[in-house]
Amino acid sequence: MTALEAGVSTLTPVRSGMGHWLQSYAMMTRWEIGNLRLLLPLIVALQIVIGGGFALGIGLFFDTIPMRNALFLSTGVAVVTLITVGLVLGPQLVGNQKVAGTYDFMWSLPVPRTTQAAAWLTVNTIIALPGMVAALVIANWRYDLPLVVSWSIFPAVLLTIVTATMVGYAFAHAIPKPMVTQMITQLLIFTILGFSPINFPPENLPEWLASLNLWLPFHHMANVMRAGLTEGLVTSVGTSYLVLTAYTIASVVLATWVVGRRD
Amino acid sequence: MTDSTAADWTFRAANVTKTFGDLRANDAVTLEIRPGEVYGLLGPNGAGKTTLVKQVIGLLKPTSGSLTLGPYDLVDDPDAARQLCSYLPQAQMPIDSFKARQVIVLTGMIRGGDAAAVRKRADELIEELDIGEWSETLGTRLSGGVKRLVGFAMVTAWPGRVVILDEPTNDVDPRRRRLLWQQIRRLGDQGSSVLLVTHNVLEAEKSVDRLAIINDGRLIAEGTPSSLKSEDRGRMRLQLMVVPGRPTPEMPVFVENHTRVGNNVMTVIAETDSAHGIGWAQELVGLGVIEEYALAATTLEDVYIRLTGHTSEDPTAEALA
Amino acid sequence: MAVSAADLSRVSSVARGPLRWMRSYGMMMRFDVRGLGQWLAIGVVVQILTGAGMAVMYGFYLGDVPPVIKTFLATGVPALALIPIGFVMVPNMVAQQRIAETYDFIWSLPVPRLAAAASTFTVFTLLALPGVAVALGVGVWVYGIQVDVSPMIVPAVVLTSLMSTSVGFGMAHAVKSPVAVNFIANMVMFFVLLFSPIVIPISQFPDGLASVHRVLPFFHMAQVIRDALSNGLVADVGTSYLVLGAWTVAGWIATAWVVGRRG
Repeated sequence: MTALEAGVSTLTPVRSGMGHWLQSYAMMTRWEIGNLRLLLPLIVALQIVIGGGFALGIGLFFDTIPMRNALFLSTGVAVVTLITVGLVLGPQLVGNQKVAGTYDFMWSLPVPRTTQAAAWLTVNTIIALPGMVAALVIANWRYDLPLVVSWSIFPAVLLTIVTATMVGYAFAHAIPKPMVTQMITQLLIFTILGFSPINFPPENLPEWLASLNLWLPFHHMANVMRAGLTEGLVTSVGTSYLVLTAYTIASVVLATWVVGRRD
Repeated sequence: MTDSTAADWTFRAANVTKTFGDLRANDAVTLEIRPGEVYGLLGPNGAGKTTLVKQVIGLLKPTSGSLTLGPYDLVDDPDAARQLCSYLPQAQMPIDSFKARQVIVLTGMIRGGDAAAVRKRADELIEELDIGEWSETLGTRLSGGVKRLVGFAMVTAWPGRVVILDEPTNDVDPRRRRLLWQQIRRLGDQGSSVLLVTHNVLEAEKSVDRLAIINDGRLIAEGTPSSLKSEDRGRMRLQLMVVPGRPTPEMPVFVENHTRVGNNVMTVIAETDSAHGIGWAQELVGLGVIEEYALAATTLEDVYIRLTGHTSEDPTAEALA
Repeated sequence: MAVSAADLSRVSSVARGPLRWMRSYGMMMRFDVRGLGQWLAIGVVVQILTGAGMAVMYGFYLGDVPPVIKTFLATGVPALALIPIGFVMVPNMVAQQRIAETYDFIWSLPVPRLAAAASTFTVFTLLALPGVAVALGVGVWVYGIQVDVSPMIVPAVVLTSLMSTSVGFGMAHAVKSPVAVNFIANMVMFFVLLFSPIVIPISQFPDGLASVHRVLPFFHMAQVIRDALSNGLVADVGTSYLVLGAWTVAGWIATAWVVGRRG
């Protein structure tokens, strides 16, 4: 019997359930890693350059940077490295698929679509972490920071990366034109960097803008990150976790809805 | 749920209509493909072939109508649709960063095969498509034709009940094209239904069991290649190569219809008029109106031209003629 | 409708001279504007938003801005707003033409190539101006400083824009791969925003980086524009004009070499 005969005759009825999900997830993660394998070193190196670049470059704005600013900057840059991966890289790669015409094939694979999102999230995390660590190491070397790392860094990183990745993923799939997606995500990054208290303390913003940020996730991403990396720098960490968790859930729901849609 | 081998795995599209705004990309398309059948879907660009296929695989949702495969409703259950149908799109495949054999195996496993069986099947395909010398080559370094064959192997390493192939032979060299057709035939022999999308009429004629011609979103003919040609039975094709720059010669009464593509005029005449036709053509050669002529049996291409109203080559041809 | 013999005979005479040049320039402008289509309007809006945004956000990063820095900020942001045009939008347009495979067609058009390049420069400079003006206005308003606009603003802006479109054009032509062009453009922006003495005095920079910037165009772009907006803040503006001129010519040479090469 040839492999083909074996294959068609054993074609199972439609698979479903948790086992199928996990198996598909494992397979799609392998696919994503294999697909990025050649680019992976470059992307990770780039992440390190971006993280280190922000940590050092923004220091140049100051004649001599006060320690409080240096702490806000360094812990903020850790958040920035996570956000940029989720919001920029995902849309970029999905955009490439659309331009190259491989998008339909990926969506025709017989796996639950949520496994593709989950695989993408896994790969994103692998890509983002070295950049984040490098940014902190470089910042610590440059500014000699009094960092106190606690276990709460794990949920902080997880919530931030899930939210950013799923929002980027949803944009990339929901908007047909890659150019438009790219523009939106770049504007978003620009706005987040400029107008959210991530790399600088909230009191530098006008009061209305600081309050507005309490309703958005970015201030809270930075807050939980700072709580995990320093002592006594920030307050209201509990609230930040609550708000951020709500955003995380919303982003996962959004991404799930987007990938399940059909025209 | 019945036993999968005993179930009737006929694919049925019933009154499938898909509109984008005012455009009716598919208009009440109804067709049926039995297990083991190689079914051709022919039509000019923009006829609605790819739109139909995307609805089968669950990438688009029909505006109305139903798509079923055996006991499964493919519209309601796109997850099942993707598991039951393999799809080779006409566009590029995402294989740039993979080695050929690796991506065939991985896709087979994603399609639900277990590792050992998929590896065996991948090696079989690689050998039978004669792409062994590239099995460890990265996708970026493959030529268009080899990429196409790798793509075919990816989606058929663990084939679905329905295998949808959109222009599978594009860019493939003639020898491997024959190997590819053998593999397509074998998919059918093993019980998969093959839905073959193409605008290469001559190739399709030799390879499909049945076919449908789709134009402007509507199915305008369906049947076996010979049943579609039956209307043309007893007719011949007289082809005239007009001297460049000369107008199309006036048609005598026995010419039933004609189409001009470039300097090529295709006429259809009754077999019994063959002698008249040759006489007329020789006269035209003598007058210097045409350079040469050829008389041959009609092919599916003639049916296709007659049915779609224009040739697939050049939509302006008729206006000039 | 068919082409008549009279039409063809007209085609066969090869036109030359300044009239043809002006006509080609005009036609290519129409071609460029149409080609950009809706992106033109979007580009202007994005320019305005980023210009205004950059003017404000540096203040947030700095917190308490010293008065001298306020002047530097307000007079540096207009230069900053000009940079994305030449170094990002122009290269991306050329890259898009390559992706869409219209590149060869555009360069096969029977127009003098200088006219085509001049048209691109004109369109993109006009596209940039609203953003530059808004950036200046916002900077002046937010930091509450006086600017002293001299007529030198005209040559300063024209040369700055000409330089950046020329270099961007040359870069995009010399670097074939659209992905690489995009990458370089992004890296340039990253470097410009974080490591260039445009809104920050060069005296705050480490010596090594400062000497690099005396060769690169960015510092000099800021110098000529700042000189036209202030009194006595800039010394030796003549050198800056020379350096910008040299970069402009380099951009032309790169473009001419790549486009003119047949082989």
